[in-house]
Amino acid sequence: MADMALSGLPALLAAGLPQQPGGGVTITERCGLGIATMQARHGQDASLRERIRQHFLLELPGRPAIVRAGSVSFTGIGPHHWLALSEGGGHVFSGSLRALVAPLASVSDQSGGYVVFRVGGPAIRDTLAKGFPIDLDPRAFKPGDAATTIVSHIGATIWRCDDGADGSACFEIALFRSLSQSFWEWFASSAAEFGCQWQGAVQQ
Amino acid sequence: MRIPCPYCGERDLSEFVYYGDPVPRPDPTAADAPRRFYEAMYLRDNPAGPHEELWYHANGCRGWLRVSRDTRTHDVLGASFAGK
Repeated sequence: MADMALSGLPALLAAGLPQQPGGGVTITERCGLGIATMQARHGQDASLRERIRQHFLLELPGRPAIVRAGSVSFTGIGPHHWLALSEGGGHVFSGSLRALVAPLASVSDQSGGYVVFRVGGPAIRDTLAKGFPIDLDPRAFKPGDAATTIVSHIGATIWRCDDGADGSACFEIALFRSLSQSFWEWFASSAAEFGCQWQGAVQQ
Repeated sequence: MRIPCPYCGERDLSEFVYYGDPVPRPDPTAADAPRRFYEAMYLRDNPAGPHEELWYHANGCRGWLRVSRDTRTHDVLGASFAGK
């Protein structure tokens, strides 16, 4: 269970990451998250929704979207399939979620398997447009919308957060932790012309 | 070519894996099972026009889709989950 220790450690180490002039794009890593995938078992969708509603006071999204309640969120990543995040939950989160939804759904711990980056800044859409083959225009991809797709040959789930205080867009991107260095290389080179500020790993 | 995934919405071809037309699996207990499997595996129709085919949304929702496509124009006439 080596990956039990990974969720609290940054996937990208700030040392050696270049700070580029300009402030067009910012990126941080959300560290310490509890991450799990949850898949409803056959015919148990309605019962699972009811159990999640009662416990977390939220409605599981039936489409690619993120729904939050307190420190927990569920993102639709496929039919009857969700990515669950818990701030500060670490690997313990998946166990408690598994116990909560048994036997209605299967839960797999991904706390050491996925990494979540938060990206923003005035030029973030121009940066993401270089890699994501989906429409991230504010009219097409609204706050709370999510998409599971591919970026630079890396599978990724992206969702839009509320805009920043300066009105610029904010997104979060989940991808396999082992590919985070490859993602960083794509992101940094795509954002270079706008100025990319690495703001470190933020403990949740 | 873009495929309208029932869950994800319209997505680029590069997110999908092609699996051919949905031929039912032959009965393995039939006396001529080897011939039936050979035909199901290799002897596929190749129509010029509307074609029913399976696509796996590997880089999206990971669902299997049944897509109707015109093989002459690549117009996608419809898509639904294969399991339904």
